[in-house]
Amino acid sequence: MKPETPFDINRRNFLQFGAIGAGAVAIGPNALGLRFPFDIEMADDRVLVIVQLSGGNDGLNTVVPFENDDYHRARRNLRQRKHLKIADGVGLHEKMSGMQALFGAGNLAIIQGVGYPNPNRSHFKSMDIWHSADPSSRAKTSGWLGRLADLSTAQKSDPDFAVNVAAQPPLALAGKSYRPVSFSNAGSYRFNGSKSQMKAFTKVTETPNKSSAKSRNSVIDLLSRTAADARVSSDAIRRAATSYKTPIDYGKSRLGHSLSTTAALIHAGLSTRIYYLYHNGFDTHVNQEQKHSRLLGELSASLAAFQKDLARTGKADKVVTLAFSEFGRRVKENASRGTDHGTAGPTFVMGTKVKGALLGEQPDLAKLSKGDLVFGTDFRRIYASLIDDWLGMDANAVLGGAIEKLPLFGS
Amino acid sequence: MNAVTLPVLAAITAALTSLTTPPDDNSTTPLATQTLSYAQARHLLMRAGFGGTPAEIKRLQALGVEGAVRHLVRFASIPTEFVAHGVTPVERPSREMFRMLDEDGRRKMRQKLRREDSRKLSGLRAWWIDRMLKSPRPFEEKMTLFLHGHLTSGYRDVRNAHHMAMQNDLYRKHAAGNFIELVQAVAKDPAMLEYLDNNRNNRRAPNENFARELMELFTLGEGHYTEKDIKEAARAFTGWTFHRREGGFHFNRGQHDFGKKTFLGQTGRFNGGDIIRIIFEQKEASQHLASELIEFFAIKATPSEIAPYAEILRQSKFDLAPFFTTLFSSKWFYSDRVRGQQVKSPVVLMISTLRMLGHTDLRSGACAMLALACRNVGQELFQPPNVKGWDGGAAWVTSSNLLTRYNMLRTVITGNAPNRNNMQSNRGGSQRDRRRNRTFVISGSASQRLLSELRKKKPANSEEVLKELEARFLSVPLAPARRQTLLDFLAGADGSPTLDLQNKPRRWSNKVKELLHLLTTTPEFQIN
Repeated sequence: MKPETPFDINRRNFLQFGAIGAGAVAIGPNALGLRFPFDIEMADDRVLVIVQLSGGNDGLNTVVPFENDDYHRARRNLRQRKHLKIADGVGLHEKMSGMQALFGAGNLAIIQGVGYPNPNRSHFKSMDIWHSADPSSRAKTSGWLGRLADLSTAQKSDPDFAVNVAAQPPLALAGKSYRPVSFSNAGSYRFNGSKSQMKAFTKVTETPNKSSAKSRNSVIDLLSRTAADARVSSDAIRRAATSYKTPIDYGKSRLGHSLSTTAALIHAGLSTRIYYLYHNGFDTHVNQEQKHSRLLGELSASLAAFQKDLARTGKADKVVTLAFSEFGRRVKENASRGTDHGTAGPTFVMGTKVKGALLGEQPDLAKLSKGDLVFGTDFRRIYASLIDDWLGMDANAVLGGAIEKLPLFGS
Repeated sequence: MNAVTLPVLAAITAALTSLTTPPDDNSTTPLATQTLSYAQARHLLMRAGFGGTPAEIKRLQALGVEGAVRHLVRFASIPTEFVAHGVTPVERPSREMFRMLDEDGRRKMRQKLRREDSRKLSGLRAWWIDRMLKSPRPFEEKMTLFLHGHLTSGYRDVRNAHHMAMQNDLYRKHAAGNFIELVQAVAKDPAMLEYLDNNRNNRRAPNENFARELMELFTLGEGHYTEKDIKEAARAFTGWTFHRREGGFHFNRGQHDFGKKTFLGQTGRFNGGDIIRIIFEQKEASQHLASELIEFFAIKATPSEIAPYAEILRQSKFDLAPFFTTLFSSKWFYSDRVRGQQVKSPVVLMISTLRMLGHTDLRSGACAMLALACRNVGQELFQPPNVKGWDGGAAWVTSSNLLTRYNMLRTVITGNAPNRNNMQSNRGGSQRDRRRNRTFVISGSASQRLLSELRKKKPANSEEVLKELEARFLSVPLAPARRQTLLDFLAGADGSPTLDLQNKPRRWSNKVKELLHLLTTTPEFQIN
């Protein structure tokens, strides 16, 4: 693999992008010296929170085309009879009142029919495609956020640039050099030692002394630097997380807990730009209704709580949240009151600086491909907008080429 | 041997060495003498295997350079009574039976089969950990670990524990054999065929995945072939697949493209075997393999350091034993350029710590937990992150991985269960995992044996205790400031109890355990 580009552009078939061609935005806002769309503020305190809906979220029962006869025919048992209307013929799942309110307030963009060419129905392969931002069949070795972290930390080293709220980092955060901070529970992200060991541990992991630098052993230098980082960063993160008090109720879900930790760390002023969170369990092959309702209820309530909490701490204008899933589900329900792996689905982008709107087209339920929805919006267009217009970084470098953005920001 | 003959022998050896050694040293120049120092023997056992106790190191040292290297590399004569993993294919219902089920029944059946298969994989992992801990042929296991990361396949895509086990057997069988033969066999290995989609490679729609990675990652390295070569190679591998039910390689004639191909400048009606033969006629193949092997067993080396080893591979037609014999006997391998310059991989960290402690007899549950511990610091056996395998080196060193490493080692040393964070899996773990996490104890405390040996020696003071631990666990000396910190800890500088042989054994042991745990947090412990 060539070091200068994340992957070989020649291998990628740009013709399949559909909308992308001569009109692609080749010049990013930075080239014009502007921080579009907020050219007054500095972009480097902006935060991007990713919520991964793992398992394949049933998009049709999330953003419901409730006036569509094909929908009702395909979903005899599972169709959403109740829904929260957000536009003509479009409603959110009945449990998503929090997100309905955010949409109403103009703080939520819902992009319909998001996917990529030649959809892959394997969880892992499709997730890898979303993580790497590379829909080719080629094996994946780095992620879009990892490459972004490489770019950013090349200029200014920062171990806390990305925080992953799980034990091991996902492909999305794998860079060539950057490695994110990972923990599943901030309270226990710490050195486990007895009281009497703590003082010695602090001294052992103190910033490298000069004699070891002289020993020309760069591996020892790397280890002592990282150990010092780990001690300092784990102290800061644990303190920020455990001392945070909020009146906002995030619910009892794991996502709620991760989001409140994220709010705590943002409030504490950590230098972190990327938070990566998980909401698992969307692989609803059997008896979908109850499970899916619970998951969407948790998603909606905890995102609304997060947004409210950010407003309370004065950080709302600094944070944008993306919620995505690796694929949607089949249009026709199966015989077990569930749905099987499908293709395109809706994606959510939330924040006070987001231009709240319903974007993209709902795929035509009368024109399916092998029983699946045909995508209308390439997911990389969302990434391009988030990188360029929100984080103020170079999307071309991260995504390996010019990709037309979506109007997610600005007036 | 009497005192007179020794110097004479030494003089003859020196004279012979000066005759056979070219005036310009390179990375293959052999050590000047046949004797190994303790530190050299320790380094050899650590890199060629997973380290060991002082007694084991001394036994290796006594063999001299040639004997020690032969003992490790030409291991076939060492008897091993290891029981095979016994991973068999999951028994699948017949097609007829499957057809009789309704959709719901089929789904449940598939789920049951998947669960059964993944249980078998956990068993395989524990079995391999056990084997790495105990094998009297450590190089065989170390090399198998290298091959697992180099010619990678991952369970997530293969979804067949039996096939993963077959691949593991294959790598062990070829560990010190011929690399070309191994690659020929890998191209027919079911796990690999599935992992890189060659079972979907047919003449109507060639799939290039295997052909590409075969050249880019397994043999030649990027830039030594064209996109056209990949397409032609893919055609040659069409129809190479495996029997889903019976297992084993299957050549599907109907799917194979028998036409002419032009590959790396040669034209003919090539099949996959021809492609591999032609690949190994390229000079780059020897350079690529030498570079990968040296990075794993020594350091990330420069082209001029690699070149003479590539030449050895070409001369031996890719027989691996001469390569390793030269590497492990070279001055360069034992120099500061190599020693203490490698971050221990998670598997090496866990296995070597237990081997150095002399505590290798674990229950299979504890072996499974060790595998989980490795996963939690970034090395999940049978599931490398991607087709490149593990990046290794600096990539192991992240702030969260370091803390987790320290916490894991605490568990190993003290036997105290870790907090939940450290044992938690990425996806929250299964109920079962979580239940087991709470009871993760490695057969009491793995440091018990070390502690009683140490106490019997009646160390006069703290300095002596620390010296013993340094000699056993470190490849390079501790930085003076860190050393002083540890001595201060033993002296009770911060008001904690002092280390004193007059202490009750339990109290004394606890203090030494805490010292050993602190030692694991030094950079010096994390490298070899």
